[in-house]
Amino acid sequence: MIVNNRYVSILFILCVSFFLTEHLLAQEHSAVSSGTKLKIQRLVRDLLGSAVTLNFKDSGTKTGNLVRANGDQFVLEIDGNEEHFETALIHSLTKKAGLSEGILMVASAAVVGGFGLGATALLFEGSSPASLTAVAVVFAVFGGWLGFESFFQDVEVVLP
Amino acid sequence: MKAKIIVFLFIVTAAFTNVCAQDDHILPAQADAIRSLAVEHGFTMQTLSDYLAQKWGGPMNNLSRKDAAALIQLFQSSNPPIPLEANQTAAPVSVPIQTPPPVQQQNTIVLPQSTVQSKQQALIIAEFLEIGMSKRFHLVDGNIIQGVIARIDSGICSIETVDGVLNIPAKDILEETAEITKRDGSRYVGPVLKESVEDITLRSKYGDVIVDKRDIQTMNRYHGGRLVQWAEEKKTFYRGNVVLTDIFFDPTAFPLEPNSLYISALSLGYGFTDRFMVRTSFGNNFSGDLNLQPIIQFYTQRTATNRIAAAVGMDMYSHHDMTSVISKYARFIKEDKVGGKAINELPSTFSISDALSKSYKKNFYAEFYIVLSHRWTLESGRGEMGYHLGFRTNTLPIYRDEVLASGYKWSSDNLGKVPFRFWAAFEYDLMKDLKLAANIWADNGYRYRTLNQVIKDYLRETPFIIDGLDGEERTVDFDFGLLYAVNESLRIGIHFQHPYLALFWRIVEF
Repeated sequence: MIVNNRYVSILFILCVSFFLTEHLLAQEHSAVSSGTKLKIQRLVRDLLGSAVTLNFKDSGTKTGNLVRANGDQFVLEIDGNEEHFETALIHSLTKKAGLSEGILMVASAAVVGGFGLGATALLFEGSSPASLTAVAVVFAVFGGWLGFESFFQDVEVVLP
Repeated sequence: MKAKIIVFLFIVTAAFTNVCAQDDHILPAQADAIRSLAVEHGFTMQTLSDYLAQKWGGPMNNLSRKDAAALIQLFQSSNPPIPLEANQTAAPVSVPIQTPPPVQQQNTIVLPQSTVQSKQQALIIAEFLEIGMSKRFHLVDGNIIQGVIARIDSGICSIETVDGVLNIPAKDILEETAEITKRDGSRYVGPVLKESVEDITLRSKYGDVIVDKRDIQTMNRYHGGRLVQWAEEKKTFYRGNVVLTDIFFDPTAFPLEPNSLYISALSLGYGFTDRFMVRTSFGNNFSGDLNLQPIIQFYTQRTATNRIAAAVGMDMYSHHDMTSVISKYARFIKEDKVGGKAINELPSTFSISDALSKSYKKNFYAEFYIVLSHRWTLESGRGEMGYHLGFRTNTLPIYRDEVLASGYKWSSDNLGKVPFRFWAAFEYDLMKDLKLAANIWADNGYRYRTLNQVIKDYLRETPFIIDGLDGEERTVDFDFGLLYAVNESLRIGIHFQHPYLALFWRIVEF
């Protein structure tokens, strides 16, 4: 009977310790993750509705339209179906430069090319069409490079 | 003389707006004095905040000058206030009310509040140190290190920095408190736990808060209980206080923030959403030329350090004075006769309006533009820089032939067939309140005008409108200048092309 009481006491202490440890760790974990959740939601809010690639910690990837991200999960629409991915497994999100970014790059080339053409025509009246074209092309290439560097870049958001 | 009057008016306006902005609220010097006195009497920023909330009915910013003076006198009296908990429990005055019992946990160390006597003033040691804290740490000996706490062991913090791992006794790390007021009016005071380029984490009595730096209106920092000097704080700032929707006369692709109104010397505008704003030139409105100038940002992408955007805009005028429009392109309009001269070469007895068809004196007129913008945070942490590329044209080609009176015609020069303005603008934060801006353009209708010409035009001919017919053709030119944030609302600028001076009054959350 005495033995039984001792076992019961030890078991009781172990259970209480286990419960308290788990409880404290869970509290700490949830405190950390609530901050992280908020940060994740802020980081990805501008990407909602866009086509993104999830880069997993195990080096796999998944691509789809980002429907929502609540901090615990990312929801992608892939082939018309919603798929859920645990945030803990994701290293980063990548938004690849697409058609809109390409259009902006071309627009940048056009504006800078137009600037070169206009400036040359206004500064050097009577310039030959060949020289105007050459200047416009040089400026457009510069504008295209500027647009490429600014607009046509993949955006990677590394999760905290 | 006229220039002196303008300068005088400018100074009076600036002084008036400053005075209006300040009204009867506590003066910055009074706030500093209260903080210094409070620290001398054992307060931390948190306990001071609690004391003010409980005894004076709100935060320091809400005190009037009279209350502030009374509080300073109280601190200097023989019976100065002491921190609330100390008052209630007769404990040592340096213990703040929220300090938990001094226990050491696995990942966190909570130290009893203590002070270190320096030559002049007591310094307050950090109360909360946690593994993972990532920020700049100010030490009692004056060292400042940037890093992350990797381990806390027996009161020694191992802080990983780019220069190596440093083992620093927790008692050597100064408390860092921030006092943040957000744009939505909410306010947090507490120790700084973490800080990154995009957000700052504070510990309040009610939990940790992560504040997005884009939402911060004002932030005061205290290291060891002392307000960080402006000279030190100004070295790093997430974004300058001068945020431009236009660089001189050319727009950027970043509209005014939502629910904000701006008034300048030429126009006023309202930000409806993050992506849409409308301006109007009030001088034209008073002259019967009602106008609306919407701009919509159709593309945007933001990361912590980069913001790119593209916008289109249209400036629409209902009854625009077409004389000012064709005067810009006078070099492309000729007398319709053999050997006819361009109208800008005719004798001074000729008036530009003579070349304009009577039915087109006032007409609907619009300008269209597209602008691409890129702003990014400087690696040095000193604000941002950015560039903007744009193209603008107008509706003149639609009624190009009809707009001229008989006896005049457009020249065959291809350059005059389509009105155009290409521009490339640049901006750079020199200091938190001071921005450098520059702009270069190719514009087949641009004229350079002197300061006197602009002042005369602005004040006399058609008030509040700059549409004079004079000036020297400078179709490819550039401009640069400085813009200064006088306070939260007022921006002033000076540059070297018309209109030379810029005044911009912004009312947030209108």
